[in-house]
Amino acid sequence: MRSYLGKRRIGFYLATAVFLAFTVLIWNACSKSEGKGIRFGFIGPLTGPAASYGVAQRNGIMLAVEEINGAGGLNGKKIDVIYEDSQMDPNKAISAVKKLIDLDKVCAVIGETTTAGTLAIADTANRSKIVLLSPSASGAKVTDAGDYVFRASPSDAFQAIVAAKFIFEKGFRKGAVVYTNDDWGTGLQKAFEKSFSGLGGKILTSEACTPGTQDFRTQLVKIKSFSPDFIYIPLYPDESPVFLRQVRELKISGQILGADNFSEKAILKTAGTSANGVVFTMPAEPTGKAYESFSKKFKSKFKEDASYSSAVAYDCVYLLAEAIKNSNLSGEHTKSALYKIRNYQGASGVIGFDANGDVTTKEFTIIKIDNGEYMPVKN
Amino acid sequence: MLAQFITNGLISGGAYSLIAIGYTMIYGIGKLINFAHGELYMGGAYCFYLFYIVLGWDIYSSTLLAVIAGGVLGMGLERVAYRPFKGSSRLVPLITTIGASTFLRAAVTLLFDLNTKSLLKNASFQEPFSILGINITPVQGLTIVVSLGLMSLLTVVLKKTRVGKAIRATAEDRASASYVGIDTDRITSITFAIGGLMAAVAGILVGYDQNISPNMGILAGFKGFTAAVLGGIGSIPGAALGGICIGLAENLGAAYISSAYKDSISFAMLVLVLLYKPRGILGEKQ
Repeated sequence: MRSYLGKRRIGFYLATAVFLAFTVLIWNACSKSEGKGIRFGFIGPLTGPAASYGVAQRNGIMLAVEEINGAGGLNGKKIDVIYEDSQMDPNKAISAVKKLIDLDKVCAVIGETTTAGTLAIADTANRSKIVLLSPSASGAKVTDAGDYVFRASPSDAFQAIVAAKFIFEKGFRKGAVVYTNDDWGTGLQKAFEKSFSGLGGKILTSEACTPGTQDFRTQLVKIKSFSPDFIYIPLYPDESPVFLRQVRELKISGQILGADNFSEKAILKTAGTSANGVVFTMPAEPTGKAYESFSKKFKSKFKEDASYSSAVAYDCVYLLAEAIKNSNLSGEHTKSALYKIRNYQGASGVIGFDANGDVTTKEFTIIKIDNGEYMPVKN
Repeated sequence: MLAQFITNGLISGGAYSLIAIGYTMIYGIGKLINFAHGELYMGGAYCFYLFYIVLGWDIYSSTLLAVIAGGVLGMGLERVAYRPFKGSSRLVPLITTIGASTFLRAAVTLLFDLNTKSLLKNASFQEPFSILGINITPVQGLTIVVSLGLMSLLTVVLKKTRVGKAIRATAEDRASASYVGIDTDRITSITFAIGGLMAAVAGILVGYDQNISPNMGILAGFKGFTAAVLGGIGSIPGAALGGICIGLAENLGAAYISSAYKDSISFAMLVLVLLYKPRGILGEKQ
């Protein structure tokens, strides 16, 4: 008897829930057709191994939106952004982009933060004719990801070449590589090995790790047996501090050469003195007036230091605003307007797109870590 | 070099065993795969972080209290996610523990933040010492010793003490156990507490060795679960053996096959063992 009633009650709750869900959907659709605001989507890892990037980018976006809306909005309309957490999982990024485009009817998507995520959602964006502007996907494959895919950071093909050239010119000849086994990590590993060997250097061994790895000891013992001059480490921010620590604990000497994984200062705190002497490539040294004024505003809003990641995401909002300004919201139009941007003075550097939607105006610089501070290195 | 690889395998294997024991005991007593178990491991590490780093207490009382907190967390989990659904379909507590796992991870993320944190107070790494050419830090040595010690202790407790016997009786046949006067609810609660304690010890040791983050429990939980199934779920020596096997397999595999497959090796091994011994290495016959 009791279970019978229980079942009927569940049925009632379900019906109510479905009804409410539909009401919300229809109401949402209506409010959209009234065209109150301009809606962007953001997809990035707000939790998980690359969360420090994703959260920094979300904050950069929030700051830009607040500024634009405070100054009267875009074409007289307020911008609102829907933030989706990809947890650095390409599958979650795909569900997120479908939700943003089909349900939320966004007119452009900022994201995904990582290369793997961007490649996973590029197809959907192209088919739906919605611009996908990634702040930081740097994998070489993103170049050919389609007409609607843009990125505001330079390609890794370039980053790896800069790193290889730098370390070779400093006289290092025998290297080892430890990389995260995904599109970003393998992209950098391959490009680095190719250009370093091309210069005449030798890669003694390359070791992979799954994203999120915290135990590198076995890989490191293997590397130690080759005694390389340096180790190149395209690893994610949450893998890097523990990697450095295990390098010191296993008493491995040799220069550590990083990629843009060190561009978030938060990880320097966790890594402490074990990060001393690390040299890495950073997409465009964020200095200059635009960056200074951005970082001041950022710090007063979030009580945290600005970083390259937050600056470039901040720029993405302004780039989209620039493309949409005084015009309609169709994806096709936004796309062709973005291709016309050649020389935008952003907080993260000068941004101009080539025919593939790649940034060609930013240069990687070499930075050395010294007691938690960045020291630019002349190369 | 082989000796160093084996040592690395024992370090991670010891931690996996401690996690696996919780899975196996909770499965034995409640016929439940506790999907929030990895979060008990993470929770123990964060309690230690709170006491030791944030509040600045000394290392001994921080460790002790964090381990106790792990046990309390296990008991709380039983209260919230298991006991209310006793008697319903077995799928229900399975889903509630998945929910509890998401909740705990989100709660820790909100209370602290997402960045990885070091549990070391003044240094950023530990000075290793060398024995027979093997580099090992004090806490890594401690991980091996403590995991072996705790597992032996637990075996003795289960064999010799009243509580241990009650746990075994409840695991064997819950209804009969309650007929002879065992408070099976209390025993279930105690079992969850033991699982939480063990997971917290593993979390603190590994966290001290490798930094902590709210997501540290996910992969560790999977590995511990794999170890429990590999050894034969329900069997304590099986959990210990399973953990050590996985630790050794993935480190030797990474060393001699390819580091790209380090995490897949343990799962491949699981499939192989289950093909030939479906109840695990030390699993009991039905």
